[in-house]
Amino acid sequence: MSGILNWFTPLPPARNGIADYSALLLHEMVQKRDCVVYSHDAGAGLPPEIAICDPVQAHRHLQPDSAILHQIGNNGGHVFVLKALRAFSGVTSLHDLSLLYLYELASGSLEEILGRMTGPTGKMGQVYAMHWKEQRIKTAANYVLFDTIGEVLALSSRVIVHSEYARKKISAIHGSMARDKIDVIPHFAPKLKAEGHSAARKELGISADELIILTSGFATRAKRFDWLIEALDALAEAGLAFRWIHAGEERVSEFDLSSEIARRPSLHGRCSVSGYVSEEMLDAYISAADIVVNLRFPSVGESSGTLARAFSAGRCCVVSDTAAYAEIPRDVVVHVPVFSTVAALVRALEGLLKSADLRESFGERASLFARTELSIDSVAARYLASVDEAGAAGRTKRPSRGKLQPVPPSVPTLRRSEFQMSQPGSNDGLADFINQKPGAFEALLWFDGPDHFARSVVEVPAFLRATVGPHVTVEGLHFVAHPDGGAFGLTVEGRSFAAAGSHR
Amino acid sequence: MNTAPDISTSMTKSVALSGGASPTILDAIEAILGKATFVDMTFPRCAFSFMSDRETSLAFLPGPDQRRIDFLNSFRQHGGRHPVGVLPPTAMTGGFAGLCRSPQPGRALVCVGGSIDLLKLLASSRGDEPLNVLLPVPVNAAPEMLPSRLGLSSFNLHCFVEAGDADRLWLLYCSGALAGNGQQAPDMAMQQSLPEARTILPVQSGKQVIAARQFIHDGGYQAEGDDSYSWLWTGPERCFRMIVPRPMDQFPARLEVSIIRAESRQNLDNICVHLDGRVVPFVFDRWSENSGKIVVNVDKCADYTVLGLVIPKLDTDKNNGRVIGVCVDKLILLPD
Repeated sequence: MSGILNWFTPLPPARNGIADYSALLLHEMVQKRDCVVYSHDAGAGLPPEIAICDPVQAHRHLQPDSAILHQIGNNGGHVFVLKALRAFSGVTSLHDLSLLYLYELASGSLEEILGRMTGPTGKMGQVYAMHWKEQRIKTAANYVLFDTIGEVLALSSRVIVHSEYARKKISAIHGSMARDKIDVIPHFAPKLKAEGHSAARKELGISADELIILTSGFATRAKRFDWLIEALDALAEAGLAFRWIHAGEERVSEFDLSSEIARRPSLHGRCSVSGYVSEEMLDAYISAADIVVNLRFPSVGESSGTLARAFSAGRCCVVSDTAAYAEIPRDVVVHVPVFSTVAALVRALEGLLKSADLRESFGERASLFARTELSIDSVAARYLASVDEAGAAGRTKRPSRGKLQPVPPSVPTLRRSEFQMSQPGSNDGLADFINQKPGAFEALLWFDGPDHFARSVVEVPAFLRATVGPHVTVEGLHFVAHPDGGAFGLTVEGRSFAAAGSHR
Repeated sequence: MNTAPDISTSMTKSVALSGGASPTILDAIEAILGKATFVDMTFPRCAFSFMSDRETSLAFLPGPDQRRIDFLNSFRQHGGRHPVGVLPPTAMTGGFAGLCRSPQPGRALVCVGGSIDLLKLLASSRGDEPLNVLLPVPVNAAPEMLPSRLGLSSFNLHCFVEAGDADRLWLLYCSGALAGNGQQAPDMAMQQSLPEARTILPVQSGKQVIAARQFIHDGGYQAEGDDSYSWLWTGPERCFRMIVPRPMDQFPARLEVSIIRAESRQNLDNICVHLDGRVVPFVFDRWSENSGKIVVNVDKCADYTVLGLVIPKLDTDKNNGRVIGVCVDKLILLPD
């Protein structure tokens, strides 16, 4: 298949790792296929033959058979991409295995977010959602437990992830519907914007004989600086010479890196934190380093751009033996276990600091890995294969859902039903009616009379709360009299934000 | 039913409605109907709206594409003061009935329509209200026959207006009495000067200046100032979009946007211009550190025209805390 590949993605100068990823990949992709990018960003530095367009006006330019690629990550820079996916189906490159934060930013109401949490995880999701809604308890665990990627999986013709770990995790949670449309394409290793080891050291003012251990990016809790500091403290106490540079910003709310370093006298004068660095400066730091440490636990399946750059630079890398990192060949990086990590890290770093040959050996294999499996040419070709496969499948199945079929104007529909509340607390059918379909509803609950209603309230307090899921808003309650007298009705008006088909 | 006039004869006639300046379509309509209020249903082409300033409201038929509806619905007219009317598909008749009620007593209502389908809908919903329709039709479409073909025997054809591209005519069909609702009588002298109540008017083809208070835009604040001078700030979104009107369906060849103020020089150095959603080259004629004029060439296209300005970095207005981009006071449409 040929033609134009239409991208929806953030671009530089947005400070967004996926914007940089897309820009680099576009440079390669445009040599293989014409590309148009729909983005709110200017796309500085892109080849001039790539047209940059207003995503809000994409409907004026795209055709039913247009090839479309969405780059989706878990931050606010991708809200417009999510909206575009809802309008135009296509291949989605999924950079994060949880999109809960994206949905928090993109949703109009809390119930809409909770509706996505309570889908595939069933009761557990309902409990966490209820905690969030009623007690304002939102923990970091939410972002691990509830991926909220069901809509993206359903709307995408194919889904690109960057590791086998990601494919397996999505398949386990979302089943065969998702599994059958996933392609694994690793994060490519970009060409570095740095002159080489010696030149980078000169630029950064690092002497030629220093042994540099490098970490990078936001200093988050999951990067396990606590383990690294403990290991480096032990190595310093043992008299090994090294210097540790963190090329990135601190995130004190997660881990107070500077304070933790200051608490270790043995590390004084051996460690520095650079603060935010540009892409060019990060490349210089990587080129100047001897060992790049990239720990992650717990991992949510992410891949690391720094690691890919370190491979390109032929650096010796140390990673956690977990999730996507565990898939990197054993002769390319040094894996340290996620249990008893500090002891293993001490032994690994000691060996690497003492042996230039060992560092060079891992570095050479990393470089080879970057030039073959992770080459940008290979990654671009695999992207196009995925796009073309989606296009071929679309041609055989058309008209496909989500393509540029005319969408009928939305006509608000109100679901109505009546229920006889025979037993206190019995809500057969009522919970399903309220919870399972999205949209406005009106449920009329009939009681035998006021006494029956009062008895029900006493025997099963808050029965309505127990019936209505956290993803439902109750917007009105009205008492009504039965036309024949006697019976006593309660009308419940509300709206369900159930993700269609996800509630069981 | 009307007797079909001799179009060829009519098209050769021209008339001066008033001494001095060339007559405009507004002059002709007012000569026939008196003071009028307009609903321009050619949105988003906006063939008529800015020509009569605030007396015109915009509305559009939604069509089947929800994405198009959502996009067009994001625009606000009259410098951002009012939404654009969307005629609800489920209550078409009611929607028209609401729009077609003349907002000011004594003024005739003229609906500027874009299609024969629209005329049908208008005719079916007008009830007893006098209704006038300004409708573009192809020159070769035997326009006098249209009302009868549509079963609109009570409509009279009153005015030809020759459009710039010479492929179509703008026809005024009127129902009921000629003189609007009576309070503001038409200029009978002018009316009588119209040969057989049909005339050909040259469409203004020169420079058109659209003031900020007339903008139809999205991504900007309401226009400030008054009828004599107005301006507006873009924001709080980085992308400011405005509909470029096509007076009587003529295409401008060039657009000029006057930016009278930017809080930072960078916003003028790195501003990006879209035409119909695609980045286009432009010339920036700088007047000062913080002001200048954007000049964009326009290619003829079949659809409507949207000009977009993407502001690199938004600033905060020190006076009121608004998040702002650049300040614009007018859009100028220039012919070939």
